[in-house]
Order: sequence, then structure tokens, then C-alpha cells
Amino acid sequence: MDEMLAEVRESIASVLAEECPGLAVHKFIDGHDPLDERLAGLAADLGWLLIALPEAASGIGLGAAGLAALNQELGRVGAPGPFLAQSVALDALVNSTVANADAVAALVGEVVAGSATLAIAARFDLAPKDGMMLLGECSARAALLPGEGDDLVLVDLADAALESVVIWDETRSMVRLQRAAVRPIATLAGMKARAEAAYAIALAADSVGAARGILDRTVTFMKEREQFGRPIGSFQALKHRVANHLVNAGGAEQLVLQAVEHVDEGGPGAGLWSALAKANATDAAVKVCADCVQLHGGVGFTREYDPHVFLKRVRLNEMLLSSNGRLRDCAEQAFAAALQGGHDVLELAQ
Amino acid sequence: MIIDLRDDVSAFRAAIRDWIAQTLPEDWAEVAERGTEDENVAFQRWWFGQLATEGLSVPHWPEEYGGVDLGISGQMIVADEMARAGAPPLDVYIVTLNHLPGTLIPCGNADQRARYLPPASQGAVWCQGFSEPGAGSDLASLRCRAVRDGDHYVINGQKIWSSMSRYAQHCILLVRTDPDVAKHAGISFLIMDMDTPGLEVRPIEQIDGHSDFSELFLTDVRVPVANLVGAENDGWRVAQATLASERGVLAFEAAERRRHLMENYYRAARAVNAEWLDDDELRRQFMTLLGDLQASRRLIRDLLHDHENGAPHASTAMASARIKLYQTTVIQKISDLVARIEGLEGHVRRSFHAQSRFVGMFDFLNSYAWTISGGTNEIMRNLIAERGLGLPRG
Repeated sequence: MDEMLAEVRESIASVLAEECPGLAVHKFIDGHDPLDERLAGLAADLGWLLIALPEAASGIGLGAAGLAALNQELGRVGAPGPFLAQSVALDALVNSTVANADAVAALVGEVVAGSATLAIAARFDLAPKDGMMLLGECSARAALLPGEGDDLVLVDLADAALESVVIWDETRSMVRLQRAAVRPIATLAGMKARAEAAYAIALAADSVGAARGILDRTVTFMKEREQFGRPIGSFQALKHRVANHLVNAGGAEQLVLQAVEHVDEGGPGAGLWSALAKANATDAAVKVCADCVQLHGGVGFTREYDPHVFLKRVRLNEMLLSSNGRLRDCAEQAFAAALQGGHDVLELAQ
Repeated sequence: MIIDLRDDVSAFRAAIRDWIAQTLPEDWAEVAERGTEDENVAFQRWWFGQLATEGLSVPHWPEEYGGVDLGISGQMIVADEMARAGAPPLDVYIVTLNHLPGTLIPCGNADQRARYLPPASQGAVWCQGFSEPGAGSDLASLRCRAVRDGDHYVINGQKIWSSMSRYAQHCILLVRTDPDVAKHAGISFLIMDMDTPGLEVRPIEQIDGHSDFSELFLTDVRVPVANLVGAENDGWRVAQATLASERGVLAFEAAERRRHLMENYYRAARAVNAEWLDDDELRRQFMTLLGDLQASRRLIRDLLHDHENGAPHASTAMASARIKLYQTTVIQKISDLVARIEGLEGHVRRSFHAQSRFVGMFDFLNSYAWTISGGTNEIMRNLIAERGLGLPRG
């Protein structure tokens, strides 16, 4: 399992290194190249959205670990496209009791093949209302929204009034659902907690990837950029900052793995660790990406250089799902409940 | 003896757990909390003796010297059970248990090993005389001077930050034997008895009220040439063995202890519906740090597994620097949070020895021992940036 995961990650990383370098992302956001479509085609050909799905749904069965690996590698290069929302929505759909319903199964098949896309509610802690924001594209076929209680509802976007929203993060798309009363396709009973955990892990992993990606590029920049006759990377004041960023990104990455283990086990720690992973990893990533703007100096303030792409991306991640404060409150309640129930959610295998 | 069960992991673990429960007095933590430093050290000596009866005092040492060559995973089981039970940390024996064998086994001679290791395994206390007032992060610039006089060295100079040296019988000492060569090339490594005439030990009063550290003043101290470890002027190389001898089990135990302290702190707060649980900022910060601590526990496990699997030194050394920086920062943030949670009550002055619960200002002040000692976190950042990320030296 670990070996297969490493192989899958390595394969995604090498494809993205080839297809999605910084220059390509810049061409894309400047409107000169449909990189998102090319990546969506590659994803369909290579089965990226199948990585996490169970074997019963024709997936590779890597679960939350696969979900995290995919999103972390996409985040590392700032890949454009609706992958995050789709990977989260698919996880909920194929693991729900309606997975085999005709409409759902057909939709899943189309999404995996790249002929339809899915959106998800930007926030899961608010009941659907007119004007709510979705993470996904204007052309999305359907969207996953929070439903009653512990349920989710899959809604048809075909006749929905969608307003596209121009957002700062140009590597992802958001739309506004002008009227929340849209035709439901299916109710995913009791799937809210699982979808929240998957969403949290995807956001945390994307953010860790983004932090690591821009940090690597910033270190390279600091070795090349010279002032006062030497590379700025030789200045201790700057060095110490990147050292901090490296260890903090490493800590956040461990928290993603912690969440992945608990979610894949389906134990009482799943809610606790996924909520904390999203809160801590997006906070850490915002600090790293913001300081990478500063460490670039003047060019960090330009559209031409990379740091803003990552900063905007992780700031959006930070705001999605639920505020980090509320997620920490959820984590605290989950921790209290676990202790009360006699579950040792802090235990680690030796 | 419990150590004989080591090949059956679950039996070994269970036996340690039961034995601690039976052996450690239930009220030891409260007694230690009220006690003096001397009483605390006396208690550690007693506990070391108890551990020795079950083969748990020096299990990681070679069989020749009283251990069983217990591997890293076995050491982790022992450390984990000690942390779980909140058993007394063996602060006074850190050099004895780790740095002494880590130096004498690879670099000492047969006489030295035979003479010093058996008593050390029975609880002789060793201290370290490395840092000097003018040689901290830049250790190799040390100036404590040793001049050969027949079959002795005559030593003059000063050492600082020598932990637990008030209680030590012996000291591993770095001295300058050749002042006319490059700084790393003129250093020698000696063993000094702490009752040698001319040696004065002056405790340093610390910011947390303790005096774990002392200064050593050496005036014409005579140490036999037979106490030279390795060759004359080859002390820097020997010191590298000393510094590499602790692989991370101590950091593992420290992290595990904090995991239990945090859990107990939270349980106690919930039990009385403590006021801070209704304070969004404090409650959320607690959860943030619970996550960060969990991350640090995972990192230290990865490092220990790498050690066990014989990962190359360059990679484990870099991981050690990253973990030191991350873990000590988390420890400091936890103590900072506890100080804020405890508010004014945390300012009621108490010194504290038991380490079985968080104590406001004391832990906060003491947390700087973590971020400064063992290579300051600033030195760690330099290592990470220069050797890890390849940034040019300033």
C-alpha cells in the first residue's frame, strides 16, 4: 500500500513537473493557454480521480491517503482546475448509499472520464441559501451541498442560475448559486462528516503542497538573486525565516498524515484530526506563502513572479469548508467526546 | 528481570507498566514537588537503583558493560512506558547514560572502559565540561588550557553550562592542548574526577529558580595523561562521537511526556469546566498546539525509525536539527499558553521538580532551556538553511 502510494505520488509529481511548470501556470492565468483543460484531459487519461476511490467503484483504493497525495502534488505546482472539489465530491458520492443509483453512477463515470465536472459548497458549516458560493466551474453538472442534519444533497446545476465570480485565486473557479432551491438528484444520508473530513484533508494537503512548492522556488531565487555583491540567501535574517518555514511545512504535512490515518481507519479521531489538519495546515501555509512574497522583495509584488499565485491559493483554502476557529472548536468537541468515550485518539503506532 | 522479556514486545511492555505501578510510590510527584533539588536528585538515584534491579537502567549498553544492546525500538518502549506513567525523568544521569558510553566505547581505551563504565552502570554521575563563557555556539574556540607536565596535564580555565555537575563524580572535559594550530586541531578530550584539587564548582542560579547548571573553575588542576580519550589534539573528533551519542530517544520521551501532560491538563479542565475552555482564543490555541505536538511526535518517530534502519548520518543529522527546532518551539508555545491560561495564579512563585503536570510561569521560563541548550535554535536554523537547503554561508 505504501509502495503503491509512493509510486502514484511520484507519477503525478513527474507529470505535473513536465506539464505544469511556473511558466505554464502564468500563461494560463494570463489567458494564453488552456492548461486547465490539458490537465483535466491528463487526469482522465491517467485516472487521477480514481486514485482515492474504492476498488468496488473501479478505483485504486488508496482512500484518504490517495486523496491527500493527489491534492498535495497539485498544490505544489499551483495546478489550475477543479480537482480539489471533484476529488472531495467523488469520495462522498461513491461511498454513499446512493453510489449505485443510476443517476449517481452515470455522473461519477462522466466525471472520472473528464466529460463532466462537479462543484461543492464552498462552506459546509452554513445551510444552503440564495447567493451561496460553490467551489467549481460555471459548467459544473452538479454540486454537493450540505443537507439536513448529517446528510448531503447532490443537486442538478443544469437549470440553476449560476453567476461566475472573479476570484483572486486564478487557479481555481468559484460560482454563486443565485437561488439555492435547485433540483436534488440524490440525498447522501449521513455523509456530511465523511465529506467534511475529505474536504479538510484535500485543503490541508493542497496547502502543504503549495507551501513546499513556493518555498522551494523561493530558496532557488535566494541563491540566484544578488545584492551587496552576494546572494541574498547568505543573509542570516532571511535564512532563518526559510528554515522556520521548512520545519513548519513539515509539521503541517505530518498533521495531514495523522488525519489520513484516522479517516482511513474510520475511527473516532477522524473528525478531530481532519479539522485540525485543515486549520493548522492552512494557517501555516498562509504564513509561508505570504513570507515568500516578502522574501522575493520587489518582484514578489509583481504578477510576473510565482509567490502571489500560491498566496492567493492558500488564502482561499483557508476560507473554505469552515473558518479555522470553528474547525478548532469542532476538533475540541471531538476530542472531548473521544476522551469521554474512552478512545485514545492521541495514540501513535510505534 | 523484566529486560529478559524484551523479545516479546507486548509482554515486555506490560511487565514494565505493571512494575512501575507497583514500584513507584503513588505520592512521589507531590513529594517531589515540595522537595528540594537535592531531595529530587536523591529520589532519582533511588529510582535508578530500582530500574537496575530489572535491567532497565542501561539496557541500551553493550552486554559487556551491563546492558543488553537494546535497540531503538526497545528503548522507545521503555521511554514510552516511563512517559505514560509520569515516572521520574533521570535528568541527573543524562551524560552517564548516553554521552559517556557514546564516547568511551568507540574512542576510549580498554582500561578506561573497564574502569569507568561498570560504576557508571551502577549510577555514578557524570557531567560534561564543554562550553565556556567565550565558547558557546562556537564550541571549537574553547580556551581552557591543558599543559603537559610529566604524566599529568595541568589545566587552567573555565567551563560553563555543566548540567548536574554539583552531583557528579566525573567529568568529560574538552581542553586546548595546542594553541598554535587551527582551532579544531588543538583540542583534547579528558576524563576528570570531580574531587581533583583546584576544581571549584559554582552553581548558576537560573531564571526558573533552579540551579541545574554550574560553572567549573579550574586552577592548576592535575589530570593524569592516562585519562586522555583518543590521541592528544584529536579531541574534536572524539567530541563529535559524544555529541552524536544521543539519537533522539530523549526527545521522544520528552514529546511523549507532553502528550500525557496535555491530555491530563485538558481532562482536569473539562472535569471542572475551567474558565479558559470558554475563552475562544485560549481553547483554540490549545487545539492548535495539540495538533503541533502530534506532528512533532510523528517526526521524532520517523527519525528513530531511520536510525534503526541505519539511514545515512547526513540525513538523520538534518532531520535532528529540524525536529529540535520544531519540537522545542512547540514545547515553548505550550508553556506560553499554560502561563496565559493560569494567569495570576501562574505567577505565584513555585519551583517544580516532578514534571508530572504543567506549572504556569515555571514551565514557561524553563522552556528556554529547550530552545537554547543542545545547540540554540538559531544554530539549528543555520544548519537547516545551509546544509539542508544549500543556502550560501554568510
